[in-house]
Amino acid sequence: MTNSDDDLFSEKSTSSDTQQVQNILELEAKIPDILSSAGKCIEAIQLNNSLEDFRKYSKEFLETVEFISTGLRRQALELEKAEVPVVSLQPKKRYASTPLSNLIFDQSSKLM
Amino acid sequence: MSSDSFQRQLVQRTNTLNSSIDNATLTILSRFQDILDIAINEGKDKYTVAPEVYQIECHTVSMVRAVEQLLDVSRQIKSYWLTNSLSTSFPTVDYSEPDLEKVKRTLTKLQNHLLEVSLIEPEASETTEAPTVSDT
Repeated sequence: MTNSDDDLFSEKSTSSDTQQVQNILELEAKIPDILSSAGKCIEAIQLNNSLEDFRKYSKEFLETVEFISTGLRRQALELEKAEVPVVSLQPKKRYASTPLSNLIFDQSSKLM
Repeated sequence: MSSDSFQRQLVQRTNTLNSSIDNATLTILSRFQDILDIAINEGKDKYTVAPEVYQIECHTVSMVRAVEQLLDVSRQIKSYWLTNSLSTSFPTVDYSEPDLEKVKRTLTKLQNHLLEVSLIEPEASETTEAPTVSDT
């Protein structure tokens, strides 16, 4: 096994990537909280007509938005620092459309 | 791929992701402000409240779409990290290869890529001649 293969499957890189994925999962779990906190703010104004509740929930809303946007930007920078290749999805498997015997026959015909 | 080109691609990706995040965040905040501006119903008649209801619905939909955009960004980043741990090497076929057996093996690997299929090559049959007994 070559050095590049060792680096590719080393525990250090795998654990680092796993940690990064866990961080993203934590961020992802908090993204829907933006809408719930915004809803609470609107309810405080429309239904309860309470300024104190509005201030409380609006602070929560803004903190959530700030946390998520800052966290995602940090993750984007981490991608650049780690020099992760620009490959979003694994390439699809390619199957031979014709049997191998035909390919071999065509190749042998070219060689003759 | 040259190093400069690779670095340029990394920077471009970072800028694209940051732009998406900024757009979504700006949309969320601006729509939230728009909703709050027309949320209070005191001192308004029904002819004023009715169109404001539709405005609130439109702003809400826009907020939801922005949140979905943030989810999409996080999904993209997650997929980058996951694919970083996988091997993306792929066997190539050299059609100028004169050895047909080698071409056959390469094509078999190409066909069975990532299928974890073990290749069993037939053993060369050894032809043994029976010893002849000469009459003296």
